[in-house]
Amino acid sequence: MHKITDDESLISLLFARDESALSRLAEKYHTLLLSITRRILPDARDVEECVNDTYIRIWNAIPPEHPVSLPAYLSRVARNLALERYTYNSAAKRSSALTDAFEELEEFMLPSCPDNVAEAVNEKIFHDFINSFLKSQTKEARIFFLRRYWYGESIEEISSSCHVSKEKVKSSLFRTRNRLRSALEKEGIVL
Amino acid sequence: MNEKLFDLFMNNVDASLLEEAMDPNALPGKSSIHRYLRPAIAACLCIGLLAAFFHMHQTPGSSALTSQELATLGYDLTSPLESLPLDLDMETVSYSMEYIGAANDIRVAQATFTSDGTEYTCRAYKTDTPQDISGIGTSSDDGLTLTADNTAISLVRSDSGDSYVSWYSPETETQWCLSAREDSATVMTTAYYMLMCLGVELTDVPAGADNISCNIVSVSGLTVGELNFTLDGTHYTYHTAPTSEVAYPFADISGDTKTYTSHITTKIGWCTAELYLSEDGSGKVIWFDIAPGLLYSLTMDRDADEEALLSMAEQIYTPVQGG
Repeated sequence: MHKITDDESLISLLFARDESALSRLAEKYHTLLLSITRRILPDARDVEECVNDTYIRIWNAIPPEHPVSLPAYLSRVARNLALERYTYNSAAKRSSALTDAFEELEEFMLPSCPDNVAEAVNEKIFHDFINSFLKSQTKEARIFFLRRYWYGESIEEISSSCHVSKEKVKSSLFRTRNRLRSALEKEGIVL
Repeated sequence: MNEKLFDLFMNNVDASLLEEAMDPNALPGKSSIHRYLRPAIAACLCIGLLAAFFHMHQTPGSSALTSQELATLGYDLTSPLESLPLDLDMETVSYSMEYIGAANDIRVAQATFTSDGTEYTCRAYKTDTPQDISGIGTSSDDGLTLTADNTAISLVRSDSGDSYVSWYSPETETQWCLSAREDSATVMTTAYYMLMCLGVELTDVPAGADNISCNIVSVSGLTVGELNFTLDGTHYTYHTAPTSEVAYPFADISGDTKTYTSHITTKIGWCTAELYLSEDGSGKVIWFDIAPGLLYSLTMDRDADEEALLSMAEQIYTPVQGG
Protein backbone atom coordinates (compact mmCIF):
# COMPACT_ATOMS: atom_id res chain seq x y z
CA MET A 1 0.00 0.00 0.00
CA HIS A 2 2.81 2.35 0.90
CA LYS A 3 4.41 1.83 -2.52
CA ILE A 4 1.18 2.55 -4.38
CA THR A 5 0.63 5.73 -2.41
CA ASP A 6 4.17 6.85 -3.17
CA ASP A 7 3.70 6.36 -6.89
CA GLU A 8 0.33 8.04 -6.86
CA SER A 9 1.75 11.04 -5.08
CA LEU A 10 4.60 11.16 -7.56
CA ILE A 11 2.13 11.17 -10.43
CA SER A 12 0.13 13.87 -8.65
CA LEU A 13 3.25 16.01 -8.39
CA LEU A 14 3.86 15.54 -12.11
CA PHE A 15 0.27 16.52 -12.84
CA ALA A 16 0.79 19.60 -10.68
CA ARG A 17 3.95 20.39 -12.71
CA ASP A 18 5.96 20.33 -9.49
CA GLU A 19 9.62 19.92 -10.42
CA SER A 20 10.38 18.14 -7.15
CA ALA A 21 8.66 15.16 -8.79
CA LEU A 22 11.79 14.63 -10.87
CA SER A 23 14.14 14.43 -7.91
CA ARG A 24 11.73 12.09 -6.15
CA LEU A 25 11.50 9.93 -9.25
CA ALA A 26 15.29 9.77 -9.38
CA GLU A 27 15.50 9.00 -5.67
CA LYS A 28 13.15 6.07 -6.05
CA TYR A 29 13.81 4.73 -9.52
CA HIS A 30 17.28 5.82 -10.58
CA THR A 31 18.84 2.46 -9.70
CA LEU A 32 16.16 0.55 -11.62
CA LEU A 33 16.58 2.75 -14.69
CA LEU A 34 20.34 2.45 -14.54
CA SER A 35 20.14 -1.32 -14.33
CA ILE A 36 17.85 -1.51 -17.37
CA THR A 37 19.87 0.82 -19.56
CA ARG A 38 23.24 -0.59 -18.51
CA ARG A 39 22.22 -3.96 -19.91
CA ILE A 40 21.67 -2.38 -23.31
CA LEU A 41 24.30 0.35 -23.47
CA PRO A 42 27.93 -0.47 -22.68
CA ASP A 43 29.03 3.17 -22.40
CA ALA A 44 28.40 4.80 -18.97
CA ARG A 45 27.90 8.23 -20.57
CA ASP A 46 25.18 6.84 -22.82
CA VAL A 47 23.54 5.23 -19.81
CA GLU A 48 23.51 8.49 -17.86
CA GLU A 49 22.15 10.46 -20.82
CA CYS A 50 19.53 7.83 -21.47
CA VAL A 51 18.29 7.88 -17.88
CA ASN A 52 18.19 11.68 -17.91
CA ASP A 53 16.25 11.57 -21.18
CA THR A 54 13.83 9.19 -19.49
CA TYR A 55 13.03 11.79 -16.82
CA ILE A 56 12.49 14.43 -19.52
CA ARG A 57 10.20 12.10 -21.46
CA ILE A 58 8.25 11.33 -18.30
CA TRP A 59 7.94 15.02 -17.48
CA ASN A 60 6.56 15.66 -20.97
CA ALA A 61 4.31 12.62 -21.03
CA ILE A 62 2.64 12.93 -17.60
CA PRO A 63 0.18 14.58 -17.91
CA PRO A 64 -1.74 13.71 -20.02
CA GLU A 65 -0.61 10.10 -19.52
CA HIS A 66 -1.59 8.51 -16.23
CA PRO A 67 0.27 5.20 -16.05
CA VAL A 68 -1.28 2.38 -14.09
CA SER A 69 2.17 1.23 -13.02
CA LEU A 70 4.78 3.93 -12.73
CA PRO A 71 7.82 1.60 -12.51
CA ALA A 72 6.67 -0.40 -15.55
CA TYR A 73 6.03 2.82 -17.46
CA LEU A 74 9.43 4.23 -16.54
CA SER A 75 11.12 0.93 -17.41
CA ARG A 76 9.46 0.83 -20.81
CA VAL A 77 10.47 4.39 -21.65
CA ALA A 78 14.06 3.84 -20.47
CA ARG A 79 14.35 0.57 -22.37
CA ASN A 80 13.00 2.07 -25.59
CA LEU A 81 15.35 5.06 -25.33
CA ALA A 82 18.28 2.76 -24.68
CA LEU A 83 17.42 0.55 -27.62
CA GLU A 84 17.08 3.63 -29.84
CA ARG A 85 20.49 4.85 -28.66
CA TYR A 86 21.97 1.41 -29.14
CA THR A 87 20.66 1.17 -32.71
CA TYR A 88 21.98 4.64 -33.44
CA ASN A 89 25.40 3.90 -31.96
CA SER A 90 26.06 0.61 -33.66
CA ALA A 91 24.05 -1.26 -36.18
CA ALA A 92 26.88 -3.68 -36.75
CA LYS A 93 27.88 -5.75 -33.76
CA ARG A 94 25.51 -6.68 -30.98
CA SER A 95 27.29 -6.99 -27.71
CA SER A 96 25.18 -5.84 -24.80
CA ALA A 97 23.70 -8.03 -22.09
CA LEU A 98 20.16 -7.68 -23.38
CA THR A 99 21.06 -8.31 -26.99
CA ASP A 100 23.00 -11.37 -25.83
CA ALA A 101 19.77 -12.52 -24.18
CA PHE A 102 17.93 -11.92 -27.46
CA GLU A 103 20.38 -14.25 -29.19
CA GLU A 104 19.24 -17.05 -26.91
CA LEU A 105 15.73 -16.49 -28.16
CA GLU A 106 16.73 -16.11 -31.77
CA GLU A 107 17.20 -19.78 -32.49
CA PHE A 108 13.72 -20.46 -31.19
CA MET A 109 12.06 -17.96 -33.47
CA LEU A 110 10.93 -18.59 -36.98
CA PRO A 111 13.11 -17.27 -39.80
CA SER A 112 12.89 -13.56 -40.56
CA CYS A 113 10.21 -12.48 -42.93
CA PRO A 114 10.49 -9.65 -45.46
CA ASP A 115 10.05 -6.16 -44.00
CA ASN A 116 6.94 -5.46 -45.97
CA VAL A 117 5.29 -8.52 -44.46
CA ALA A 118 6.60 -7.69 -41.02
CA GLU A 119 5.20 -4.18 -41.21
CA ALA A 120 1.83 -5.56 -42.03
CA VAL A 121 1.60 -7.45 -38.77
CA ASN A 122 -0.97 -5.91 -36.52
CA GLU A 123 0.45 -4.64 -33.25
CA LYS A 124 -2.71 -5.70 -31.47
CA ILE A 125 -2.02 -9.30 -32.43
CA PHE A 126 1.35 -9.03 -30.69
CA HIS A 127 -0.22 -7.45 -27.64
CA ASP A 128 -2.88 -10.13 -27.30
CA PHE A 129 -0.50 -12.95 -28.05
CA ILE A 130 2.42 -12.10 -25.77
CA ASN A 131 0.23 -11.25 -22.80
CA SER A 132 -1.97 -14.27 -23.25
CA PHE A 133 1.10 -16.44 -23.59
CA LEU A 134 2.80 -15.02 -20.52
CA LYS A 135 -0.34 -15.27 -18.41
CA SER A 136 -0.67 -18.93 -19.36
CA GLN A 137 2.76 -19.66 -17.90
CA THR A 138 3.46 -20.32 -14.25
CA LYS A 139 4.24 -17.20 -12.27
CA GLU A 140 7.81 -18.32 -11.78
CA ALA A 141 8.39 -19.13 -15.47
CA ARG A 142 6.88 -15.77 -16.45
CA ILE A 143 9.06 -13.84 -14.03
CA PHE A 144 12.24 -15.62 -15.15
CA PHE A 145 11.34 -14.98 -18.79
CA LEU A 146 10.68 -11.27 -18.38
CA ARG A 147 13.70 -10.71 -16.15
CA ARG A 148 15.88 -12.37 -18.78
CA TYR A 149 14.39 -11.14 -22.02
CA TRP A 150 12.76 -7.85 -21.09
CA TYR A 151 15.04 -6.55 -18.38
CA GLY A 152 18.12 -8.38 -19.70
CA GLU A 153 19.19 -9.82 -16.34
CA SER A 154 21.80 -12.55 -16.36
CA ILE A 155 21.02 -16.11 -15.23
CA GLU A 156 23.11 -15.44 -12.12
CA GLU A 157 21.18 -12.26 -11.31
CA ILE A 158 17.83 -14.02 -11.67
CA SER A 159 19.05 -16.95 -9.61
CA SER A 160 20.21 -14.65 -6.86
CA SER A 161 17.21 -12.33 -6.77
CA CYS A 162 14.64 -15.14 -6.97
CA HIS A 163 16.49 -17.46 -4.55
CA VAL A 164 16.57 -20.43 -6.91
CA SER A 165 19.40 -22.38 -8.50
CA LYS A 166 20.92 -21.28 -11.81
CA GLU A 167 20.01 -24.66 -13.29
CA LYS A 168 16.39 -24.10 -12.40
CA VAL A 169 16.40 -20.71 -14.12
CA LYS A 170 18.09 -22.14 -17.21
CA SER A 171 15.71 -25.05 -17.40
CA SER A 172 12.67 -22.84 -16.97
CA LEU A 173 13.88 -20.41 -19.67
CA PHE A 174 14.61 -23.28 -22.03
CA ARG A 175 11.14 -24.69 -21.59
CA THR A 176 9.44 -21.31 -21.87
CA ARG A 177 11.35 -20.57 -25.08
CA ASN A 178 10.20 -23.90 -26.49
CA ARG A 179 6.61 -23.18 -25.54
CA LEU A 180 6.87 -19.69 -27.04
CA ARG A 181 8.16 -21.13 -30.29
CA SER A 182 5.32 -23.66 -30.41
CA ALA A 183 2.76 -20.97 -29.61
CA LEU A 184 4.17 -18.65 -32.28
CA GLU A 185 4.12 -21.42 -34.84
CA LYS A 186 0.58 -22.37 -33.87
CA GLU A 187 -0.60 -18.78 -34.29
CA GLY A 188 1.41 -18.32 -37.49
CA ILE A 189 3.27 -15.34 -36.05
CA VAL A 190 6.62 -14.72 -37.68
CA LEU A 191 9.25 -12.61 -35.94
CA MET B 1 14.55 -12.79 -36.47
CA ASN B 2 13.51 -9.25 -37.28
CA GLU B 3 14.85 -7.22 -34.36
CA LYS B 4 12.49 -4.28 -34.79
CA LEU B 5 9.58 -6.64 -34.89
CA PHE B 6 10.85 -8.47 -31.85
CA ASP B 7 11.20 -5.19 -29.95
CA LEU B 8 7.65 -4.33 -30.91
CA PHE B 9 6.60 -7.78 -29.76
CA MET B 10 8.23 -7.45 -26.35
CA ASN B 11 7.07 -3.86 -25.95
CA ASN B 12 3.52 -5.10 -25.85
CA VAL B 13 4.02 -6.87 -22.54
CA ASP B 14 1.49 -5.53 -20.04
CA ALA B 15 2.75 -3.16 -17.35
CA SER B 16 1.31 -5.39 -14.63
CA LEU B 17 3.50 -8.29 -15.80
CA LEU B 18 6.59 -6.10 -15.97
CA GLU B 19 5.92 -4.87 -12.45
CA GLU B 20 5.33 -8.40 -11.22
CA ALA B 21 8.65 -9.52 -12.71
CA MET B 22 10.59 -6.98 -10.69
CA ASP B 23 8.56 -7.33 -7.50
CA PRO B 24 10.95 -8.78 -4.91
CA ASN B 25 8.01 -10.38 -3.10
CA ALA B 26 6.50 -11.98 -6.18
CA LEU B 27 8.29 -15.25 -5.56
CA PRO B 28 8.51 -15.76 -1.83
CA GLY B 29 11.17 -18.25 -0.87
CA LYS B 30 10.38 -21.13 1.40
CA SER B 31 10.06 -19.90 4.95
CA SER B 32 12.73 -20.85 7.38
CA ILE B 33 10.10 -22.46 9.59
CA HIS B 34 9.53 -24.94 6.78
CA ARG B 35 13.14 -26.01 7.13
CA TYR B 36 12.82 -26.48 10.88
CA LEU B 37 9.55 -28.33 10.57
CA ARG B 38 10.85 -30.76 7.98
CA PRO B 39 12.86 -32.92 10.41
CA ALA B 40 9.95 -32.94 12.84
CA ILE B 41 7.56 -34.02 10.10
CA ALA B 42 10.02 -36.68 9.04
CA ALA B 43 10.24 -37.93 12.62
CA CYS B 44 6.45 -38.13 12.90
CA LEU B 45 6.30 -40.01 9.63
CA CYS B 46 8.87 -42.47 10.92
CA ILE B 47 6.68 -43.29 13.90
CA GLY B 48 3.89 -44.48 11.64
CA LEU B 49 6.18 -46.04 9.10
CA LEU B 50 6.15 -49.63 10.30
CA ALA B 51 2.37 -49.72 10.51
CA ALA B 52 2.12 -48.31 7.01
CA PHE B 53 4.70 -50.77 5.78
CA PHE B 54 2.79 -53.79 7.03
CA HIS B 55 -0.49 -52.37 5.83
CA MET B 56 1.04 -51.91 2.41
CA HIS B 57 2.02 -55.53 2.11
CA GLN B 58 -1.39 -56.76 3.14
CA THR B 59 -3.21 -54.86 0.40
CA PRO B 60 -1.93 -55.62 -3.10
CA GLY B 61 -2.85 -53.22 -5.91
CA SER B 62 -2.16 -49.58 -6.51
CA SER B 63 -1.34 -47.91 -3.21
CA ALA B 64 -0.46 -44.32 -2.44
CA LEU B 65 2.62 -44.01 -0.26
CA THR B 66 4.98 -41.43 1.07
CA SER B 67 8.49 -41.08 -0.26
CA GLN B 68 9.77 -42.40 3.08
CA GLU B 69 7.65 -45.51 2.75
CA LEU B 70 9.08 -46.08 -0.72
CA ALA B 71 12.56 -45.65 0.72
CA THR B 72 11.95 -48.53 3.12
CA LEU B 73 11.33 -50.67 0.05
CA GLY B 74 14.65 -49.59 -1.42
CA TYR B 75 13.32 -46.92 -3.78
CA ASP B 76 14.66 -43.40 -3.46
CA LEU B 77 12.70 -41.41 -5.99
CA THR B 78 12.93 -38.14 -4.11
CA SER B 79 16.64 -37.41 -4.55
CA PRO B 80 16.66 -37.46 -8.36
CA LEU B 81 13.50 -35.38 -8.44
CA GLU B 82 14.83 -32.82 -5.98
CA SER B 83 17.88 -32.36 -8.20
CA LEU B 84 15.80 -31.46 -11.25
CA PRO B 85 16.09 -27.86 -12.42
CA LEU B 86 12.34 -27.67 -12.84
CA ASP B 87 9.50 -25.58 -11.49
CA LEU B 88 8.74 -28.45 -9.19
CA ASP B 89 7.07 -28.22 -5.82
CA MET B 90 8.15 -31.44 -4.10
CA GLU B 91 5.11 -31.31 -1.85
CA THR B 92 2.87 -31.94 -4.85
CA VAL B 93 4.70 -35.09 -5.96
CA SER B 94 2.58 -38.18 -5.37
CA TYR B 95 4.21 -41.53 -4.71
CA SER B 96 2.72 -44.97 -5.08
CA MET B 97 3.38 -48.62 -5.79
CA GLU B 98 1.69 -49.78 -8.97
CA TYR B 99 1.06 -53.14 -10.53
CA ILE B 100 1.80 -53.01 -14.26
CA GLY B 101 2.47 -55.40 -17.12
CA ALA B 102 0.17 -57.62 -19.13
CA ALA B 103 -0.46 -59.84 -16.13
CA ASN B 104 -0.30 -57.03 -13.58
CA ASP B 105 2.63 -58.87 -12.08
CA ILE B 106 5.28 -56.15 -12.04
CA ARG B 107 5.14 -53.94 -8.96
CA VAL B 108 6.91 -50.65 -9.57
CA ALA B 109 7.59 -47.63 -7.41
CA GLN B 110 6.11 -44.55 -9.02
CA ALA B 111 6.27 -40.80 -8.60
CA THR B 112 4.05 -38.47 -10.57
CA PHE B 113 4.62 -34.77 -10.75
CA THR B 114 3.75 -31.74 -12.83
CA SER B 115 6.28 -29.22 -13.91
CA ASP B 116 5.78 -26.30 -16.28
CA GLY B 117 2.45 -27.81 -17.23
CA THR B 118 3.96 -31.16 -18.13
CA GLU B 119 2.83 -34.25 -16.22
CA TYR B 120 5.66 -36.70 -15.70
CA THR B 121 5.62 -40.26 -14.45
CA CYS B 122 8.83 -41.61 -13.00
CA ARG B 123 9.04 -45.34 -12.30
CA ALA B 124 11.66 -47.57 -10.71
CA TYR B 125 11.69 -51.35 -10.47
CA LYS B 126 14.15 -53.65 -8.73
CA THR B 127 15.07 -56.38 -11.18
CA ASP B 128 18.14 -58.28 -12.27
CA THR B 129 17.31 -57.88 -15.96
CA PRO B 130 16.27 -54.80 -17.96
CA GLN B 131 12.53 -54.59 -18.52
CA ASP B 132 10.04 -52.29 -20.18
CA ILE B 133 8.16 -50.61 -17.36
CA SER B 134 6.94 -47.64 -19.39
CA GLY B 135 3.43 -49.03 -19.69
CA ILE B 136 3.17 -47.04 -22.91
CA GLY B 137 2.24 -49.80 -25.29
CA THR B 138 3.43 -50.15 -28.85
CA SER B 139 5.97 -47.64 -29.95
CA SER B 140 7.16 -46.72 -33.38
CA ASP B 141 10.69 -47.32 -34.55
CA ASP B 142 11.49 -43.75 -33.71
CA GLY B 143 13.72 -44.63 -30.81
CA LEU B 144 17.32 -44.41 -29.82
CA THR B 145 19.56 -46.37 -27.50
CA LEU B 146 22.68 -44.89 -26.01
CA THR B 147 25.21 -46.42 -23.70
CA ALA B 148 26.89 -44.36 -21.01
CA ASP B 149 28.69 -45.51 -17.87
CA ASN B 150 27.66 -49.12 -18.62
CA THR B 151 24.05 -48.00 -18.62
CA ALA B 152 21.85 -48.57 -21.64
CA ILE B 153 19.53 -45.61 -22.11
CA SER B 154 16.56 -45.80 -24.45
CA LEU B 155 14.64 -42.83 -25.73
CA VAL B 156 11.36 -43.68 -27.36
CA ARG B 157 8.61 -41.63 -28.94
CA SER B 158 5.38 -43.57 -28.97
CA ASP B 159 2.70 -43.41 -31.62
CA SER B 160 0.31 -42.02 -29.02
CA GLY B 161 2.34 -38.85 -28.51
CA ASP B 162 4.10 -39.91 -25.33
CA SER B 163 7.84 -40.00 -24.98
CA TYR B 164 9.81 -41.95 -22.49
CA VAL B 165 13.37 -42.46 -21.46
CA SER B 166 14.25 -45.70 -19.75
CA TRP B 167 17.49 -46.98 -18.41
CA TYR B 168 18.73 -49.93 -16.44
CA SER B 169 21.30 -49.54 -13.72
CA PRO B 170 23.17 -52.85 -13.24
CA GLU B 171 24.88 -51.55 -10.11
CA THR B 172 21.64 -51.00 -8.23
CA GLU B 173 19.72 -53.56 -10.30
CA THR B 174 17.04 -51.00 -10.94
CA GLN B 175 15.07 -50.30 -14.08
CA TRP B 176 14.06 -46.65 -14.42
CA CYS B 177 11.59 -44.96 -16.72
CA LEU B 178 10.57 -41.33 -17.10
CA SER B 179 7.62 -40.61 -19.34
CA ALA B 180 5.40 -37.69 -20.30
CA ARG B 181 2.97 -36.68 -22.98
CA GLU B 182 5.54 -34.32 -24.39
CA ASP B 183 8.11 -34.06 -27.13
CA SER B 184 11.13 -36.27 -26.70
CA ALA B 185 13.51 -33.32 -26.25
CA THR B 186 11.69 -32.18 -23.11
CA VAL B 187 11.59 -35.65 -21.57
CA MET B 188 15.18 -36.40 -22.57
CA THR B 189 16.44 -33.16 -21.05
CA THR B 190 14.65 -33.90 -17.78
CA ALA B 191 15.99 -37.46 -17.82
CA TYR B 192 19.46 -36.10 -18.46
CA TYR B 193 19.43 -34.33 -15.09
CA MET B 194 17.98 -37.40 -13.35
CA LEU B 195 20.71 -39.56 -14.84
CA MET B 196 23.35 -37.12 -13.66
CA CYS B 197 21.91 -37.24 -10.15
CA LEU B 198 22.03 -41.03 -10.28
CA GLY B 199 25.68 -40.91 -11.31
CA VAL B 200 25.25 -41.61 -15.01
CA GLU B 201 26.93 -39.05 -17.26
CA LEU B 202 25.48 -39.21 -20.76
CA THR B 203 28.64 -37.58 -21.91
CA ASP B 204 31.40 -35.51 -20.37
CA VAL B 205 29.91 -32.09 -20.86
CA PRO B 206 32.71 -29.66 -20.02
CA ALA B 207 32.60 -27.81 -16.73
CA GLY B 208 31.02 -24.40 -17.15
CA ALA B 209 28.80 -25.44 -20.04
CA ASP B 210 25.26 -24.13 -19.95
CA ASN B 211 22.08 -24.14 -22.03
CA ILE B 212 22.42 -27.91 -22.01
CA SER B 213 19.67 -29.72 -23.84
CA CYS B 214 19.16 -33.18 -25.30
CA ASN B 215 17.07 -34.19 -28.23
CA ILE B 216 16.39 -36.92 -30.70
CA VAL B 217 16.53 -35.92 -34.35
CA SER B 218 16.50 -37.60 -37.71
CA VAL B 219 19.49 -37.04 -39.99
CA SER B 220 20.20 -38.84 -43.24
CA GLY B 221 17.58 -41.42 -42.38
CA LEU B 222 19.24 -42.21 -39.06
CA THR B 223 17.87 -41.62 -35.59
CA VAL B 224 20.39 -39.36 -33.94
CA GLY B 225 20.92 -38.43 -30.29
CA GLU B 226 21.69 -34.75 -29.97
CA LEU B 227 23.34 -32.84 -27.16
CA ASN B 228 23.54 -29.05 -27.30
CA PHE B 229 25.49 -26.83 -24.99
CA THR B 230 27.15 -23.45 -24.86
CA LEU B 231 30.61 -22.85 -23.49
CA ASP B 232 32.30 -19.45 -23.38
CA GLY B 233 29.79 -18.11 -25.88
CA THR B 234 30.33 -20.88 -28.40
CA HIS B 235 27.44 -23.17 -29.22
CA TYR B 236 28.28 -26.84 -29.65
CA THR B 237 26.11 -29.61 -31.09
CA TYR B 238 27.16 -33.19 -30.51
CA HIS B 239 25.46 -36.01 -32.42
CA THR B 240 25.73 -39.75 -32.13
CA ALA B 241 23.90 -42.49 -33.98
CA PRO B 242 24.20 -46.24 -34.36
CA THR B 243 24.62 -47.60 -37.86
CA SER B 244 25.26 -50.96 -39.48
CA GLU B 245 26.78 -49.33 -42.56
CA VAL B 246 30.55 -49.61 -42.30
CA ALA B 247 31.61 -48.50 -45.78
CA TYR B 248 33.85 -45.47 -46.18
CA PRO B 249 33.11 -42.60 -46.50
CA PHE B 250 30.82 -42.82 -43.50
CA ALA B 251 27.65 -40.80 -43.15
CA ASP B 252 27.75 -37.20 -41.98
CA ILE B 253 25.19 -37.01 -39.16
CA SER B 254 25.87 -33.38 -38.27
CA GLY B 255 22.81 -32.27 -40.21
CA ASP B 256 24.92 -29.34 -41.33
CA THR B 257 24.79 -28.65 -45.06
CA LYS B 258 27.15 -25.67 -45.07
CA THR B 259 29.94 -25.57 -47.63
CA TYR B 260 33.29 -25.61 -45.85
CA THR B 261 36.47 -24.14 -47.27
CA SER B 262 39.01 -26.50 -45.77
CA HIS B 263 39.05 -30.19 -44.97
CA ILE B 264 41.56 -32.51 -43.35
CA THR B 265 41.49 -36.16 -42.37
CA THR B 266 42.65 -36.78 -38.83
CA LYS B 267 42.09 -39.09 -35.83
CA ILE B 268 39.94 -39.01 -32.73
CA GLY B 269 41.07 -41.84 -30.48
CA TRP B 270 41.39 -44.79 -32.84
CA CYS B 271 38.78 -43.44 -35.20
CA THR B 272 39.31 -41.77 -38.54
CA ALA B 273 37.81 -38.31 -38.45
CA GLU B 274 36.96 -35.77 -41.12
CA LEU B 275 37.40 -32.19 -39.99
CA TYR B 276 35.95 -29.19 -41.82
CA LEU B 277 36.48 -25.48 -41.27
CA SER B 278 34.71 -22.45 -42.67
CA GLU B 279 35.93 -18.89 -43.12
CA ASP B 280 33.07 -17.66 -40.93
CA GLY B 281 34.70 -19.37 -37.94
CA SER B 282 32.40 -22.37 -37.75
CA GLY B 283 33.58 -25.93 -38.09
CA LYS B 284 32.66 -29.55 -37.65
CA VAL B 285 34.30 -32.88 -37.18
CA ILE B 286 32.68 -36.22 -37.97
CA TRP B 287 34.02 -39.62 -37.01
CA PHE B 288 33.02 -43.26 -36.99
CA ASP B 289 33.75 -45.81 -34.30
CA ILE B 290 33.51 -48.97 -36.34
CA ALA B 291 33.68 -51.46 -33.44
CA PRO B 292 30.30 -50.61 -31.89
CA GLY B 293 29.07 -49.07 -35.18
CA LEU B 294 28.56 -45.56 -33.86
CA LEU B 295 28.73 -42.36 -35.88
CA TYR B 296 29.59 -39.06 -34.25
CA SER B 297 29.67 -35.40 -35.17
CA LEU B 298 30.57 -32.24 -33.34
CA THR B 299 29.90 -28.77 -34.68
CA MET B 300 30.83 -25.41 -33.23
CA ASP B 301 29.45 -22.11 -34.46
CA ARG B 302 32.52 -19.92 -33.98
CA ASP B 303 36.22 -19.84 -33.14
CA ALA B 304 36.63 -23.24 -34.73
CA ASP B 305 40.03 -24.57 -35.67
CA GLU B 306 41.58 -28.01 -35.73
CA GLU B 307 42.83 -27.84 -32.18
CA ALA B 308 39.57 -26.50 -30.71
CA LEU B 309 37.42 -29.10 -32.47
CA LEU B 310 39.65 -32.06 -31.64
CA SER B 311 40.11 -30.93 -28.06
CA MET B 312 36.36 -30.68 -27.46
CA ALA B 313 35.65 -33.92 -29.35
CA GLU B 314 38.12 -35.86 -27.24
CA GLN B 315 36.69 -34.27 -24.12
CA ILE B 316 33.10 -35.33 -24.72
CA TYR B 317 33.65 -38.54 -26.64
CA THR B 318 33.92 -41.69 -24.57
CA PRO B 319 34.78 -44.71 -26.73
CA VAL B 320 32.26 -47.45 -26.10
CA GLN B 321 34.98 -50.09 -26.19
CA GLY B 322 36.92 -48.15 -23.58
CA GLY B 323 39.44 -46.43 -25.86
